[in-house]
Amino acid sequence: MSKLPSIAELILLIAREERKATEIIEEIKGNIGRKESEANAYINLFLDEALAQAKQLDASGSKPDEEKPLQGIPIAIKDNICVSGKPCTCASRILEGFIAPYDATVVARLKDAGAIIVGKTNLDEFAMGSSNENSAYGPVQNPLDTERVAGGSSGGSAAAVAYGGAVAALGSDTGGSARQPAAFCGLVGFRPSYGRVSRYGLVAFASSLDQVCPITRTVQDAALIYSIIAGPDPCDSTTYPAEPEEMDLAGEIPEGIKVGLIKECFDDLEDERMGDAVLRSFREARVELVEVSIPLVRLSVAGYQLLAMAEASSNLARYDGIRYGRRIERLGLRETYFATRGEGFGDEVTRRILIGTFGLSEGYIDAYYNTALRYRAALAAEFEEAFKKVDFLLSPTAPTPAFKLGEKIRDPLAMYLSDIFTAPAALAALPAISIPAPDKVDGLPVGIQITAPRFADAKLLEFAHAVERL
Amino acid sequence: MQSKDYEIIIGLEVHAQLATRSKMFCRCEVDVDAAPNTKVCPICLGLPGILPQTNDQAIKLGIRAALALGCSVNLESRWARKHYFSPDLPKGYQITQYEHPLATGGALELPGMDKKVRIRRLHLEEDAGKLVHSSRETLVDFNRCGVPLAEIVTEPDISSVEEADTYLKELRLVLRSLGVSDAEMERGHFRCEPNISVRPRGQEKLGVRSEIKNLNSFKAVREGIERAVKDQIEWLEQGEKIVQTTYLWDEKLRELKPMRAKETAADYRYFPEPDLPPLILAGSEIAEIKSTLPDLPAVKRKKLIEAGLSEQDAAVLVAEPEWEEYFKGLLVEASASIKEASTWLLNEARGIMAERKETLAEFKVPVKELASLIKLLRDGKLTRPAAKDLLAAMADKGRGAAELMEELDLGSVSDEGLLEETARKVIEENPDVVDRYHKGKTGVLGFLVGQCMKKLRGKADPNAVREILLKSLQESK
Ligand SMILES: [Zn+2]
Repeated sequence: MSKLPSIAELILLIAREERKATEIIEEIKGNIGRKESEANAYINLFLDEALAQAKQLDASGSKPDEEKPLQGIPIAIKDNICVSGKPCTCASRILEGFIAPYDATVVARLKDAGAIIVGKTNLDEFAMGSSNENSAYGPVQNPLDTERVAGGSSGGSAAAVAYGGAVAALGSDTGGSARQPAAFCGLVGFRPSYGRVSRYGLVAFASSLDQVCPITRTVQDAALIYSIIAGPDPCDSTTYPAEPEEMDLAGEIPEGIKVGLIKECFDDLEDERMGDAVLRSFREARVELVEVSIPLVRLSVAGYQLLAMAEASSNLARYDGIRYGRRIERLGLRETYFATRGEGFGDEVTRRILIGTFGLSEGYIDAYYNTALRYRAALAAEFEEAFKKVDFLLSPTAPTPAFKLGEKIRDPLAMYLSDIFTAPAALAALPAISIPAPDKVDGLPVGIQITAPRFADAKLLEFAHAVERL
Repeated sequence: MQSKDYEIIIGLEVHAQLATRSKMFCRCEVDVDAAPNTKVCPICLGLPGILPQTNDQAIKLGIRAALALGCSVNLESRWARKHYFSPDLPKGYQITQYEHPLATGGALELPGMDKKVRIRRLHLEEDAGKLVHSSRETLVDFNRCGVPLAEIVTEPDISSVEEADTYLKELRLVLRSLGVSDAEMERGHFRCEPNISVRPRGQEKLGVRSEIKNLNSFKAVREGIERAVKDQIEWLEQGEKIVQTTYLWDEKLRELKPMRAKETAADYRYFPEPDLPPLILAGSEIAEIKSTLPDLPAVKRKKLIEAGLSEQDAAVLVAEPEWEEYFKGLLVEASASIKEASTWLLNEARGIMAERKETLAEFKVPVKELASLIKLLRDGKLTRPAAKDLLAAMADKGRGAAELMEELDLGSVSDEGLLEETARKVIEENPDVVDRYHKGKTGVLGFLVGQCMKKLRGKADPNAVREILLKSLQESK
């Protein structure tokens, strides 16, 4: 596989005039030509446009600088994030024909920084899934092992970066949708603290959990993209009002750092090799490791799914075929609604809308939605307690490496359980990052998940960067 | 049984459109009459990926209304989603406030009724779009979608159609006088949904509620409520079981149409809006808004009545800002007393307008000219009857007081010689009366003044005539 340089490396190459923007796009184009038909990472590609942009940059001689740190850097965008003038399908039939009339805030910021958008990547329909098999545009294959899933829901973003179809990508993470595919594809997936990155233009799945995330080759790249897309946005009232802290990716693990192993995650692993792969470098680096118990982690999938499905049932109410997307016309409004929504949504989305609607309905909201809210608060409190004792928390990103295509798709509960280690940080609004462990299991990459206290995003990136280099 | 044997219990929900320039959750201009779907953006169209941003001005107006209604404004209120499917509701839910409204617990006094209606809550929300039906198709106009509304809900304190009518008019007046809402009912700025129940007097258990939607005028509200009350009494009389029903007012047929049960048995699945943080207000912010509240209509009326106006005249002035402005103009321009101004504006001018079927805006006599008429009268240049004629002519011709008085020869005779001669003639022609006067029957003076005025065809200042007559009588002794 032709590995692309990281963003940081590319910036140096361009600065030294060893690589032109057009050459990078051509290289990507070549990789896509070789790999895309198998990987199915993209739903839409804009390579001609990208090349034209690159040519212009080369002609004008402009290079990445302070103002345009990503000048000429090709980036892929998950197809649930709006790019003005481009289709935004969310991998759903129901959005067929919909063209986004505006840029998501994160996209606008990337464009302002000079990035070139090369395409929109495949995903589980409306980001609902953990294997990228629930897509109206077909499943994504893991470029490292084509019999296996790339993970989900940001499977397309991870696969594209993994096979060299983009230098970096934006994904989104609701319960693990960026961290888990990054882990499955041997990449870095960083979920910022809830509120750090604007959700404006990210098509909502579960609003109180959704975050836009960089999926990159290195922590440094993740930090670079994060520094561009993060920060308050008047268009998103849930963004945190303060600008993100400055980062210093100096490399060393500071003295006295204490890392907590989440006991429940390691205890519940069926394959010990997963735990060993995660822990080896920390042991060798003599980081102080302590075991920390967060018992409520074990319930995270139930709590996460109740909340996410409830919010999804509300967020997806707008897809009715009246104003945009695909309408299946029947005689009468109700009949048109039934046909449009019935045929427009895939099975997993339909399942979640139905369960979510039930969980919010009169007589049941206390037993389900409100109980899940209480669970969420209790889980956040357990994390807060834990962070009184340690600086970071550690677990595998997922219980297993990438599983096989078709292995879990008929068993929704088994599929949901692949979020068990990633859902907790999302529920507690914490920043978490998945970085590849140096060791593989059965030849497949394993993700190390590091979680930090809320808004300690900079500290987390600094630490992850140091760990990555161990 | 008679209807007086029944107790009527009414609660009112009013949706008032807030007078903001932009919408509740986006920055689109509020202009529902613009060409369809020209005042829209991705946010109010509910496109994928959008998020709402609250409008501070709408929140301020909501607080103003709440304070004027004596509500306590909650330092923390929350947004919620209310779900239902409708083509004019682009997100499939409406952003509103549910468990934690902006304000709670106020009251509104009904003028002239010695009654207070308690306000249960006031909350903010966004309006839906509009469906435009034709015989072949239904179109949607989203200009109104996202327009800010305040929903004001009463306790079930209203016990007659008159009270309901008075409450609505007073509420409308309060909102208008605060600049919170234009509250034009016919234009949909001020929509009322009553819930009505009836029970035999003395019965403790509440009756079953009827709710009415689509009432677009005060008249429709009255008729709708009357109809619902009448129906309920009839059913009670006949021992029929009443089922809670929501009706639509049919404006053409002027009758109530029950909505299908399917349309009313909605589960709105309210839950906290995850896209908006709670609305947190500072006490100082609320105090500042409170300090800018103008006199409320009730206070204004009280002040005018204390200054000598009748209750009715005070009500007219306070209800109609243009009238109040005209009135104040008279006080300034003519240095008129409250009495003079109210006589000439609220009695005379208003009578003429009623006859001519004109509004104040159409009335052709500007403040300045009515003021000069009042001054002419005060200076004795006009008699009262002549002044009335003059005003009618001014209203007809739209010309100035002095000019028209001259032209129509309505001015009073002020030539002393003529007045003296007239007095002498009247004394000569009425020797008996004069004799009685001299014998102490001074009451006959009025008759003699009248005779003089008759000879002068009413065109003299009666006071001046009286004085000259007294002098001549003295001389004729
Ligand atoms: Zn708008």
